[in-house]
Amino acid sequence: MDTQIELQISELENVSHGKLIKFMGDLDATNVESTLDQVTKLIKEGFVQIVADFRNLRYVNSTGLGILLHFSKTAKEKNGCFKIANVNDNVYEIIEIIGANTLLDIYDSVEEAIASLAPRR
Amino acid sequence: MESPEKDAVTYSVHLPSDLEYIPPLRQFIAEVARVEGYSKKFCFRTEIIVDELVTNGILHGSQDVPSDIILSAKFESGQMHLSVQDQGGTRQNLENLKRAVYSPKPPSSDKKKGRGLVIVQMLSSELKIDLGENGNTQVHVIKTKDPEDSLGQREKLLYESDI
Repeated sequence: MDTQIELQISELENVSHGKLIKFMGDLDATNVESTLDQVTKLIKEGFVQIVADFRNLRYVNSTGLGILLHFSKTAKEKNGCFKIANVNDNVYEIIEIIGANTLLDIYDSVEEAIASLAPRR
Repeated sequence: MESPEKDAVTYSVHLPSDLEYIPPLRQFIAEVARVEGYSKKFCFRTEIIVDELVTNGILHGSQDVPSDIILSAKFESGQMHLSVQDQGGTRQNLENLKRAVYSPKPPSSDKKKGRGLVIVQMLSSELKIDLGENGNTQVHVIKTKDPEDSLGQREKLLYESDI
């Protein structure tokens, strides 16, 4: 039985190749593979401007952080980005310990993250 | 008047080397910490420490042997003592673990794994890695309660009203 993680994926209005992904639950070694598959599929389909809303992400371990870094790297390689918003204090502490705050684009709110994206042309 | 200190209870759990057992285990140990009066922050950090140590034991210490992971946890005098043993201990495994802790690589987007023990070290007061008498790898962690880790009066009232 995997730990509960749910990804709710929706369009980003006025952003080319954009998607908003709401992470809900715990991201850990039991569900990284399914999360990896879902987000990698989006990136392969060309949705490379991604905003991840962590408001309801309660927990992430080092394995989960590993795939977040992977998403960021993969999106950037395709001239896109993987931006994170609404990170809770506990999750931010783990991100900071491994120095991933210098590698991930982190915003206080989804609105700020979206505002930083390239608009639709 | 201070209440007398309770006798410490040691929780010992044997689990198969399967990742699926980790979420309920880590949440259970964090819940024990909460009941023992530690703060939400301490409990979250405990959950992470348990997760990383057991994940490590399963992925790296039990690769070639279908074996159990043994976790024990004791909360005493403002400290959590945690020990995780796997049965795939080799000198090489021990060296790899020590390298991960004492010579961590800088953060990189290329690595999906290998940061767990760095997190454990940062969240713990003490971390020790040994080969046991039976050739198993043992990781011992002590986490001391900081002043802010004590459950505040308001938090305590909220918690008690939950039960």
